[in-house]
Amino acid sequence: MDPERPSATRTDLELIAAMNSGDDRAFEALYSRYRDWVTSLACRFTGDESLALDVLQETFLYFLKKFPGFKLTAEMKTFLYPAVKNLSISARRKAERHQSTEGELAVLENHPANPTAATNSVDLSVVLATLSEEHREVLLLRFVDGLNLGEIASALEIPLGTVKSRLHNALTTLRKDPRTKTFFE
Amino acid sequence: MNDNVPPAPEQNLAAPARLVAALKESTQRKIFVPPTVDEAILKAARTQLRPAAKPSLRWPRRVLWPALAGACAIAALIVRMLTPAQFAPGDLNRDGKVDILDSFALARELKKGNPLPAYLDVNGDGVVNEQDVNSIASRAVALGKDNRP
Repeated sequence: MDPERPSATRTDLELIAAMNSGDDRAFEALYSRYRDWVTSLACRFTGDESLALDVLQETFLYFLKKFPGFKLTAEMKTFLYPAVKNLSISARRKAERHQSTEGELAVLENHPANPTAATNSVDLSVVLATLSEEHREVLLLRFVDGLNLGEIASALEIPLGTVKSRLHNALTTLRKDPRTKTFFE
Repeated sequence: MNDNVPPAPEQNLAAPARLVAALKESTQRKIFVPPTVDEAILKAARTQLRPAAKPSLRWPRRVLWPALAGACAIAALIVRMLTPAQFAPGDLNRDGKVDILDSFALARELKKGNPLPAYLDVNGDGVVNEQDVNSIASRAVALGKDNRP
């Protein structure tokens, strides 16, 4: 590994190797690479920007505690996803202890993510809310977060066949629903 | 919906580009991360990733010499304990001389029937037995005669 190479061009594995040697600049590069994704994902789970920022901090503190000696055995998003999800659920439960916490992803039911979006996006949010949590999670991981099927299986710790089935079912629902079938035409 | 159906063909798992764009628009929010949050995380990283300070190998002089002297004394003691003492063959009780007491000691050990170390084979015939007792006794007597004034 060339330590003179700019951190932005180094792979995740190279940056983690550098972090294991005590290089905090390597962490800065990784942090800047995944900060917005983690925040956005946390906001998707919590439905609250303030909670998402708490989750952002807790996720990277959890990550940092793995050093030195951390070995990345999967994609970085695959590693981070369960941490973000669990920390988000925990943060949301703490924040809403007095309320019902039915469905950890239920935020999409009540909070269209972008209120200024076009009408069909609002319709899409409503249809997404009718999907089961498992189907919606796989759909968003695939098409919003850009994980491939194997990475989704690793992140959710489920068989690849289950990922394919859930994704197929989610797409079938969207294809059949009159509010979203135009996307497939 | 049942997830236990046979896996769908890969081509059925693709989504139209318009749908992907709408999904991103619908679910992804650009959230402003305050610099204080960034700084808190980066500060934690600096603390966590900083290599632990190596302990200084320089000892204060007033401690160094007594410590070295003590270490030498301990080393000498260990060497002395580990080095087998040179005793004459047959000197069972390790008192520095071969006498009748050694033959008595060997006789007692033989009576017990315990396995005996090879160095007690005083006559060198390959076994430790009564003949070694006699050898020690003879030698003790001979030494006694030689030493008689």
